[in-house]
Amino acid sequence: MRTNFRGLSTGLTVGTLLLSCASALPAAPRLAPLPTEVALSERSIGLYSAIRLSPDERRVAYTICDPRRVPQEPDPRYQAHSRTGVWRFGLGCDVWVTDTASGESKNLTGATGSNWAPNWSPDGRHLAFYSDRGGSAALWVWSPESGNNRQLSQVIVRPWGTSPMAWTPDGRSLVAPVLPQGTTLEQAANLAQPAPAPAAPKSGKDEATVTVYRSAPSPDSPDRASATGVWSTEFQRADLGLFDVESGNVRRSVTGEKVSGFWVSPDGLRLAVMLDRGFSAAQSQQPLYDLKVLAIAGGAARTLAERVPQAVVPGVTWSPDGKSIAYLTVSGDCFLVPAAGGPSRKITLTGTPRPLYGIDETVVPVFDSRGRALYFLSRGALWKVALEGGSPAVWSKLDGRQLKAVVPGGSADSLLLITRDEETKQEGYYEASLATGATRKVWEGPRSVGRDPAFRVAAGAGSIVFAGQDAARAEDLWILSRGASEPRRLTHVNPAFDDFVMGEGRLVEWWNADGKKLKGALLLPAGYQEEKRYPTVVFVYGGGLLSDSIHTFGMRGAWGSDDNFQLLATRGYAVFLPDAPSDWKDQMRDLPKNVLPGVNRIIELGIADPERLGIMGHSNGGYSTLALITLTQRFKAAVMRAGLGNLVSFYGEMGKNGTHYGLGVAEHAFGMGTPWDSRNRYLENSPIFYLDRVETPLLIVHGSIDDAVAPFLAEEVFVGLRRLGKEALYARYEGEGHSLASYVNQLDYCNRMIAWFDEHLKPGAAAK
Amino acid sequence: VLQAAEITQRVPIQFSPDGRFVAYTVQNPGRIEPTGDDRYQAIPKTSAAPEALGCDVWIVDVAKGRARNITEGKGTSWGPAWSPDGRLLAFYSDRDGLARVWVWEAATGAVRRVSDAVVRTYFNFEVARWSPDGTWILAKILPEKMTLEQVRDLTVGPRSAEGGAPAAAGPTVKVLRAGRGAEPPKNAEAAPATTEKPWWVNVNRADLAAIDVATGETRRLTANLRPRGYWLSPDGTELAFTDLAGSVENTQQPIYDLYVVALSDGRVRSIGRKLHMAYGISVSWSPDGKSLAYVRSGQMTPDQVVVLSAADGRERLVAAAPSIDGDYQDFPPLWQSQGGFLCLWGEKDLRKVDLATGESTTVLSVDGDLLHVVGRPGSGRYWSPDGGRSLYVAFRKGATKRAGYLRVDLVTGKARTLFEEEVHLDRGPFSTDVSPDGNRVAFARQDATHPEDLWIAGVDFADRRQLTRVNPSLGGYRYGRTLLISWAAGSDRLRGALLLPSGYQPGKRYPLIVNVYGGSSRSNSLFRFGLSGSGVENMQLFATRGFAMLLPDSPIEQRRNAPMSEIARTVLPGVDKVVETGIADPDRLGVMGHSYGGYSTLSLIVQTTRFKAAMASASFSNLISMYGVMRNEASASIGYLERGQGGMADTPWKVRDRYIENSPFFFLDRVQTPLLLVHGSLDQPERAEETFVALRRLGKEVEYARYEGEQHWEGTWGYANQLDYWKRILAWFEEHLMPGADPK
Repeated sequence: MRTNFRGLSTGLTVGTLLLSCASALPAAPRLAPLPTEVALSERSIGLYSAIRLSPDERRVAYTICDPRRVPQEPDPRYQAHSRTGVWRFGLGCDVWVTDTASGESKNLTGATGSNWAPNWSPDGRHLAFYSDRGGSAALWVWSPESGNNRQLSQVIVRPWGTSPMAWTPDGRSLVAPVLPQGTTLEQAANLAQPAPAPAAPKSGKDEATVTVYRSAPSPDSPDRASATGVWSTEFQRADLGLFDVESGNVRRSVTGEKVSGFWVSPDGLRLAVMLDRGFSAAQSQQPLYDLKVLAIAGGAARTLAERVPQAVVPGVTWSPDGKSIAYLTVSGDCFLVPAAGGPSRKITLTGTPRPLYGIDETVVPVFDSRGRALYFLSRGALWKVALEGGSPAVWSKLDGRQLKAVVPGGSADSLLLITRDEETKQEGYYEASLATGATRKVWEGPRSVGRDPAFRVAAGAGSIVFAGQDAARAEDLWILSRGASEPRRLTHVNPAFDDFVMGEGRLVEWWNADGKKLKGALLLPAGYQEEKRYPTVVFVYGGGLLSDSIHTFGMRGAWGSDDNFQLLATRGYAVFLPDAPSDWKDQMRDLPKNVLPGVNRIIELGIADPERLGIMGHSNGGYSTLALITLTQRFKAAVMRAGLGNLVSFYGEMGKNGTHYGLGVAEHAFGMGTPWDSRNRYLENSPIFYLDRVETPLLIVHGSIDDAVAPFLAEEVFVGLRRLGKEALYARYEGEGHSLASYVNQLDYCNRMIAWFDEHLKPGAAAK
Repeated sequence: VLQAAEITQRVPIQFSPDGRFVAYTVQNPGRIEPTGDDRYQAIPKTSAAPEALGCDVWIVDVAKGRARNITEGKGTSWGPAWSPDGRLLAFYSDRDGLARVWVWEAATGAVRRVSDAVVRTYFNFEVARWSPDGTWILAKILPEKMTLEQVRDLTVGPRSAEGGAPAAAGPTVKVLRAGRGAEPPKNAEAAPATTEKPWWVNVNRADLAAIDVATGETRRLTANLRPRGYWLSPDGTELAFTDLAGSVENTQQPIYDLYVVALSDGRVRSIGRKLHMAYGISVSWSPDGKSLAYVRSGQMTPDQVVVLSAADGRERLVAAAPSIDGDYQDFPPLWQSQGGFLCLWGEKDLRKVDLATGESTTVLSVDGDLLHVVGRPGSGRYWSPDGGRSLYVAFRKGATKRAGYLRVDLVTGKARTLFEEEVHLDRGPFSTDVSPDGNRVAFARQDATHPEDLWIAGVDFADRRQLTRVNPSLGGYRYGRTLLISWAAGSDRLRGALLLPSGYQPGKRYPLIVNVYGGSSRSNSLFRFGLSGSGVENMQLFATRGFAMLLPDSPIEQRRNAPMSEIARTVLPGVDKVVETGIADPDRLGVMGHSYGGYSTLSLIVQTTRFKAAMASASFSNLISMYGVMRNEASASIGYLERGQGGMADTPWKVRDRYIENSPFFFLDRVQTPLLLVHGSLDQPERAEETFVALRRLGKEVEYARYEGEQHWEGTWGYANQLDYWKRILAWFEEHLMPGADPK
């Protein structure tokens, strides 16, 4: 999977509804269109904010995010962190605590500000979290004893990614990234992207407004040396602060670095940090990191490893004795480094490496409690290697199941494997014994356990709490007590959905043009009747395995499918998400070979009406949509969101900070080569050159500040279709990025998308 | 040089009725501020005309030569027009915040605002006119019931919240439709209505109004149209005007409707529909007020003159016009005062159309260019020293580029040269006027070492003398001399203007910079000060620093559909020629260009490695992505590429390879020349950025200077940015072409 941080940010259309559900009487669900307002108001369990069981397992802490509380932010400088310093995935969130026994839930932060990343102290006496409820992002603690929230310090925190603040083992201090000393929030935002032109230049007569970009930045030049990477990592720039919980005093250790991750040693005296070192090459999306160790209160840092290739969010693990640090690289190799310096040990495996990308694949090695062996996921199996030496060996493997992540188990002698059955797409948990390697099914079912599953499960000695959802039911927390076979639902985050009959999911299979078996997730219309054909919308993403979305609510999930497709299913549509594997080099060759036989299959099954097919996609899926409608005329309506039609102009797009995102995608992610050595590949895979063949009405949706796929790339398509007299509608959302962030624009888009398909596919009409 | 004031382009100069003064407009680039926000590109904040910023109105005493700035640098003031009695001088000014009509009183020197009405013009030539009785002034003002912001919204869409504070609640979507089924979908009623015309049409939204000079009372003569040209009938009872209706789809051929409004009752009648004109200002009244003539021209049109009945629009006559290219499209037919015939002039020919017979005959053809016919701007007539038989016409010789005036006898066709010198005279009628008594002519003149000033002459251009000194500060420098060189490119004989470095020593070789613009005859600039029409393009800035400059002719054979190779075919032999003459050092060659000249520069450096440095401003390298450019909802480049300068003659779906073969982008891997890219952030910087990203990826030496809040042409930039731009390009060429050492 070649998503990346930016790609990830696309998927997050999460919602909530501020309604009091306590008094709602359960009513029979009805067969009715799910109102867009209800769907978009869905409250979600916060992404990348881990679910945390208290040490005594009496309480579970998590966040619930309300999309209607996310402020509109048209300024591109505040996309990663908000004006008040909130990390984007914390916006509009509240910290909740649920009693694991009674199920009683409490909102600790009461819809004031944005609150995220709750984290229990080792003794369970404090729950730390980030919040801007005091004006700007700061470190807060809630005390279960007093029930009060307390802001630890005025120092502005600067967290990002998945790492929350870290407790020292004694529970007296916390380590958290903070704004570099002397920097304001606006100055920090300007680092990521130069400020937009002031509407009225302050001193127009005296000062030039020039920004200079160079092929090779000149060190002597006062001009701003431009970023040359595929995206800017400046949003990571921070100091590390050591907060004293009693006094609120803060000491800074690492200063002014791009801190990609930090880990407190088991003795609480040292910090391991991963510092951003840019990308492996100008065209590469592969980040590199330096691993360093320093005293927790600051001082000189020792470099343990340089230019380590890891995922966008890096990860390392301290050994229990604090003497070594282990980490995995993107190629699946494991390294063991002495914390005091000295040669590292590379544990290279045999077999085909599976490159790792993206936050959702943050994978770290795990030590057993005595620090004698190291376990890690690689090449589809759990491996074990003894620290005193010897070859690594496969320790645990589950046939037919993909191992999505490994997390510490509830006991010292086990690990918890998060699994997905390749055949049924069922997800679940297996316990692997560190002593024997034997695995035991904890629970498995027709549910999804989340896009970031390692953050959506908390294993204790007596129970496991996890977030689960399925095609027809929104995500909630579930608890599985040790020994129980079925989990019990712990929360009821979105009671509003109970009123509606939802569409159910069905997995379908077909053979692609090369004879390879593929799968697809089919969301049936609510109240589906056999023998009846339905208008069907295909959601496509070249290179994506969309059948993995079969057990997510409304088939949302990866590959830009951030629409809740229950919106269509409750309006009489089937929605089809086909696998479309590709090496990305020649998507216009691969897409029809994979997708069209899948469409034939759902017609054969008697579900899809061949005369009423629609197609849509987001980002590369928007590109895929456009590609397919230049290759076939069987679709009667199409929606291209944040898409593009010309890989050559995508290649040449430049961010205001000098980054070249499109070039990185084309060369690194797609592996297409350059337009000079592979010109024909670029031309043959650019739908713009085939717009004259389009017969499908196209709705183009784009955000005006999309920094991944710049709006001019959508406009090229619209201008071309308009020139050719084709039917097209271009909806441009001012102040929106690669995915629509604001509730009102999401609502406008969803209504527009539904109206577009209603107009062209007429779901109410009888099938021919 | 950049601070140097200039006589403002395309604003008419005017003699006072008593012939004692000439009023004119001077632009001071140092007073221009960056546009800042694309909302203010077409309609500046104060509603001034975008190319008339930083201007003052001056008058010069013809006898004493004393010049006086009557608007004193407050805001911008432009477009002087004397009242018929000469007591008042009307002009536009935003000196108190918004552009309005003002008058200057000759007796007291006081200025006074005539009315509250906000002036709404786009081009510099859309100036105020007086009624024959001097009681009211005709001006283009903000449409009734519209605010300036609303007109602006029609050109750029409602204000984007980008960069500003978070917007208010409500979706921020803007929706555009294309093709069949343009019925709005059911649930889309929330979508704001889109502007029904493209921005360059809507920017003309204005009402023509008669403003009473005494009371300021405003009477609107048109309502909410897009008027462009406007002409009072000879008896002052009627007003003809053109209304910009749009363009022929997918071309750059504008279309206009022509109307006449009776001033007595305000009744409007249609005279012509969908007329093909370029700027919509090539219309003139017949002296008897019964006919209107216009020049039919443009991308999609044979050049013709058409005479219409002013009563009902019936076509009275259609006759061939002289061949006119894009630069000649905006000049109206000129009537003989007696109304017997019409005169038309084009690139090389002067034609006469007999109104009785309809016969169109060529009176004069020159080897070179015709530049203008002397007449009073806006009068629709040529001025004749002998009751209509003869006229004065400015010319430029093709072989020498020397310019002067001819007196042409329209009956015999005989032409007498009144003078011919190494000077440059303007093309077009705006900077020439005749005194009401006919005894004097004022005209703009410059040469290679003297900036443009107004000159005055007597009958038959005798006693020529300089009238103004717009820029006393530009004296005292040693400027480079210019010379004309020529070379063969295939069967063509081409020329180039060569500017020698100041203090040029024969026998010594100098670094040479080629300033290129495909399709142009740049040698025509031989006797322009700095080889350019504007301070921001003044090539003396290079010459006084030891560079030689070549401005080569680069005609492009349109039918070959291969502009990229045509540019190399025509320009490179010219460079050889300068090397052969011993002036240019072949190892220190540079190339630069602006806009299509930027494209030309990129075209050259992918075809030759001989240049050691290049600078492309406002450039583009990829005709495919260029094709898809949308500006303010309109397709900005389709007509340009399919029908115009882009030279592709068809769509990318019909002639894909042609687009690719003429896109330097696809050949950037061949570049060996260090390149400086310059672009304004309001000018689709994506077009330069793809070149930059590509060259950076290829490991080539490239630098990209992006000027925030600036438009397409450096002449409109804020002064600080102009200065930075020049320092940067001088340093760039000095670094690469003058590495410390003396010339070899």
